[in-house]
Amino acid sequence: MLEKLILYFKKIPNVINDREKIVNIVFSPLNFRANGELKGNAYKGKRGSDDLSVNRLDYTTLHFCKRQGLKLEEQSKIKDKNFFGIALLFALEIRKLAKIISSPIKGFNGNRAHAEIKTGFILKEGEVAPAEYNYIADELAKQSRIFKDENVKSKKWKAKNFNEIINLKL
Amino acid sequence: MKYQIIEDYSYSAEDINDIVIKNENYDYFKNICHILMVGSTIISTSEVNAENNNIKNKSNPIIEVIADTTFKIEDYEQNVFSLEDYKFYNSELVSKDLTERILSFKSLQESWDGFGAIPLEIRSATNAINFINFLSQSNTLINPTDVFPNPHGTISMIWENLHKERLSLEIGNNSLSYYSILNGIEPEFFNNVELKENNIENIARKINSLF
Repeated sequence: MLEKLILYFKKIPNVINDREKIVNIVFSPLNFRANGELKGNAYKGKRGSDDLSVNRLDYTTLHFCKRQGLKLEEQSKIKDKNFFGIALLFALEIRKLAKIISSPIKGFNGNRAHAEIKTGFILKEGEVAPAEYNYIADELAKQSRIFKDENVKSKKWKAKNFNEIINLKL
Repeated sequence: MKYQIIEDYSYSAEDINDIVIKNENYDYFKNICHILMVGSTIISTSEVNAENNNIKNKSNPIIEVIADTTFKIEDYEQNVFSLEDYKFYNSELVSKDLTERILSFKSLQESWDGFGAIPLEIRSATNAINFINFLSQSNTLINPTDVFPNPHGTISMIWENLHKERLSLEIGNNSLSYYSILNGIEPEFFNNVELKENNIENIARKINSLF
């Protein structure tokens, strides 16, 4: 609750700085190849839209991201979507391939650190996506830094990589 | 039979040229190449029984070797045919496995990604299986690095080699799209590609060039 209050009153700029850490929540085995590499599908948007929801880590917490991941796992009700951890990119790295814009979700239970990666391509039923779209998704996945939190019982980020993530700089 | 065999593979072009000139005999050079090729096969089949000496002085690289073997060129040819057979059977196995995987994506539930994704479309699945069958029948099917369904009902396949060069392909209800990326070269994009024989053959050539 205290964390929620702090995040709620935190001043968040509308413009995303190039050096900001952008976090995409990833699931196993849905988003991973057998060799452990992240699949491009982790960066593919929802059907019928051209955006992918991500979080601005500088204005939220790893605990919040994890809670969100566990919630998404629960909502999906499929066995292949188990919370794994995060895929992290700096905004500048994303901007070399796609757009990233701030998109805060209002309300006390919202998410003011919410942002969207936009490719400009909308996925339609049965129609193949342009090859450029698949290239962007694959490249974002390849460039991502993957951090796992294996302790799924806790709603807090418990992995030893906590400080490594927080101290990451471009 | 008496052969002269080069055992040190670190010869430079000049060294080999020197051997050829010294002997003033082109056929001699051809024999050396032939023996090197056959020799490597003999070693791999453990049918070699040769007594040899090591080269100690590079300025005098030719040594006398007695290579007594029952290995015949026909055996070598037989091995080559066996490899082709293996490739064919392997292609069939890969095809069967891939078809099963594609069909399994058809049984995905609505919203299988938790964000409203639809199961694999029947026409996309059929096109993907036809694509696989075509590659299998033309003996050009290589197991993809990755196969996965997309949230909008299509299917993706990726072939990637150890140098991270790749070809990524998406098959839908009416067409396919793909890109290829080779080291040091800008990616090439191909959209709205019809599922025709010549297009698939072209893609197969690109996939095979990666491996």
